[in-house]
This record gives sequence, structure tokens and C-alpha cells, in this order.
Amino acid sequence: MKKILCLLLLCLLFVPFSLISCTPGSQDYRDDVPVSDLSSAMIRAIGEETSSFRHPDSDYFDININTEGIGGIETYEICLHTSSGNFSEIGICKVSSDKDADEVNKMLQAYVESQQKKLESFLANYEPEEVEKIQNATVQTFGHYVIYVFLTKDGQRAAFDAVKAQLAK
Amino acid sequence: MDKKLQIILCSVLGLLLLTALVLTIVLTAYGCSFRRGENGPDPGPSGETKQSETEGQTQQPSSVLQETPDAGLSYQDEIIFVGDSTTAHLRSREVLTGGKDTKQVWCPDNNTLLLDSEITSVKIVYPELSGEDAYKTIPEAASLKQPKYMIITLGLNGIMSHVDNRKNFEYSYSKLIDAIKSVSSETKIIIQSIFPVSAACDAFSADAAQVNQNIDTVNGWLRELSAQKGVYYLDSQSVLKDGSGMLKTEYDNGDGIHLTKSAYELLLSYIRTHAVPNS
Repeated sequence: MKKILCLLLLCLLFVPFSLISCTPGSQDYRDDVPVSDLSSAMIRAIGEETSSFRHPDSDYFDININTEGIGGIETYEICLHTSSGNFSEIGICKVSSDKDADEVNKMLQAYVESQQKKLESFLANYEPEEVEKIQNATVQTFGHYVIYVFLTKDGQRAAFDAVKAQLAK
Repeated sequence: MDKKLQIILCSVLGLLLLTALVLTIVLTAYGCSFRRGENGPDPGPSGETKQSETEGQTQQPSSVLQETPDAGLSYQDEIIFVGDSTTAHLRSREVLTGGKDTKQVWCPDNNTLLLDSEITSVKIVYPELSGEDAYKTIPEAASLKQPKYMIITLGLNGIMSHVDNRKNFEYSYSKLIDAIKSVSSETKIIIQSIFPVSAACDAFSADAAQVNQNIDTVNGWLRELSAQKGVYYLDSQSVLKDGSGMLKTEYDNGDGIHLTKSAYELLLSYIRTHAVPNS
């Protein structure tokens, strides 16, 4: 019985260590990939050329995304489709820490919802594919990269698979 | 140690171990649910203090175009119209010189336009050119054409967002005005009021009354902005409204937003009878 007790106790001691190794976020992904490489990979993954996308004016981030109180954004990249009426958009923020990632995720979620509100009047007049991009816009975090996309569901899947491949350790 | 106590202790430890093991398996298998929220519902701050009330409208700024004698077709023909689908329909309703082929309407090829900070980068179809060469930004087109008058009508698209973000709205509109002025300094820029929607409008997340209230608020900002920027303001929306502040039914093309040919003819009459001074 004492042996069993000791064995159980030993096993229990090992569990916290295994839980620590399961901690998500930064440890799962690389954090040395340039945001431009990520965006290029995502664009190619959705079957487009990088030349089909452009970077917005330098004020786009500050004007459209409320960064008040948000720190730790090391760098970012936003890609807008060059065709009017094509709402494909990719935004990538590289942050310094897991905590910053949480805050930036909320910040970008607010941006996505603001854009959805802004674009709602377009919905009745646009192709279903564009409507899908607006309605299903999403924000996801991969370690120290927080990414939002306005893409179709298939596009999202392909783009985020490309991100995972780029950031795999 | 008492055997009973040993058994109890063993059982408790065993249970704890089992729980910990199950937790470990679950977390590992499902990518650790501590991960940051995906599609988190918490919207966070919207970015700007809501200023949905009309501010500072104590008297008419001098930039508001007053009634004048009819300036005639020659005046009208010198105006370039820039805007969203409510501007694009000046072409499809064939109310300008040139009808469907008028060269006075500058809109993107999808016939709609959203005011945001990218407004100076969006490509419109510059009607003086053809093919790929015709795709120009508004400042590029203004630089080429050097129009005598330019009426800009923007803000209906995205109105439900604009009304919550006065700073962003005015920044974007100012950016466009400044860009045009920098390449075409002689152009008389006229900010036209956003048109009302009818009771039948269901394109927005609010009812027509709320949409029109938001439009009125933003039009108030546009009046003030025109004075600040030294451009003109054209309050043409006033001729389209019924007694309840809605777009008159007879001017509604069917979707609550877009206008009939007679509405455009009325607007053009308003434009000619509220001409830029010394035109």
C-alpha cells in the first residue's frame, strides 16, 4: 500500500510538468517570420498573386484601428485587394508577448466588427462571395502573430493553413 | 498508517491523478483551450466617443450655397460629380449632357464608393480615357481634368459606422479635399449633402427613421467641415424629403436608397439655382 501511495504521489508530481509543456501560444509557433512573408504565403494560398494586393496608405492602421492603450505591436502589415468591389483583406500584427496578443486580438476584433458595420449597406448589391467575406471575417492568434482576414471560408482555411505551415517549429 | 486511511488516501490520489491525466489529454488534443479567443465576441472600444448629436449648428456657415438665379446648362456642364451609386445613377438616368456617355461622372467601375482613409487611393473610371488607362485615383483624375467645379457626395455607404466615428469621417473627407486642392487648386469643391432614404429602406441595421437621423447628423458635420476647409456645402437633400424627413416615395427607385430620374432632375435644378457665387 505504501508503495502504491508513493507511486501515485510520484505520478501526480509529474502531471504539472506535462501541463506546462502543453501551455499554448508562443511556444507552439515561431516568432521570427517576417509579416511580409506570412502575408505573401496567405495570398498565394488563396490562389492570388501578391500583385493583386496593395498596402493601404500609412494612416490606415491608425485611422481605422483603435490602437489606444495597445502596446507591444512590433510590426504589422495590411493587404487590400486592388479591385474595387473585392473585399479580400489580410492584416497581420506581430506582438511582443502573449499578453499583447490577447489585447491585439480584441483590438482587431473591434476593427472587424466596425468594418462589417460600415460595409453592411453593400451586402445587398454584391456578389455572394463578397458578402461571405464580410460576414465571416475573423481574427485568429498564432503565437505572437494576430491575424484578421476578410476572405471566404475556403480562403480562410487555406490562408490559415499557410500561416501554420510558415510558423511551424 | 491505518489501513483504512491508506485506502482513502490512495483513492483520493488516484482520482486526482486521473483528473490530471484527462485534463492533459484534452488540452493536448484540442490545442490548449487557454489560447486567445478566436472570433471573440467582446468588441472592445469602438475607437471614438460617440458624437451622434449634431454639434455647433447655431447658424448657417457662409459656405452653404444660397439660392441664386438659374445658372443654366453651361454651369451644370462644367461640374464633375464624384461619389457613390447615388452619383453613378446620374449617368444611368441620362440626366446630364452626354446621357449614358456623360463625362461628368467619376465613380469606380462597380459604381459605388465608400468614404474611408483609402478614398484618395481608390480607382475611379476617368471617362476622358479608355481601357486600363482610365483607372485613376480621384486626385489623379482631378490633376488631369482640372475641373472648374466638383460636387462630392459621400457618406451614405457606411453611415451606421460613420455616425460613431466623426473624427475618422472628417479625417477621410478632409484627406480627399486636400488631395484635390493640391493638384487642382482652382477647382471649386462643393460638398453635397447625403441624400435621405425612404421608409422602405432596409439596407441598414437600423430602421429608416434612424438612418435618416444619422444622415442628418453627418450632414451637420459636413456643413461645418465645408466652412473649415474653405469649400462649399450644397444642401440639396432638403428638396427630396417629405414632412417626416424621409425620402419622398415618388423619388424612391424601389430600394429605398436610389433615386428616380425625376429626383435627379430636381437635384440638378437645385444645383443650378444654388450656384457657386460669381460662376
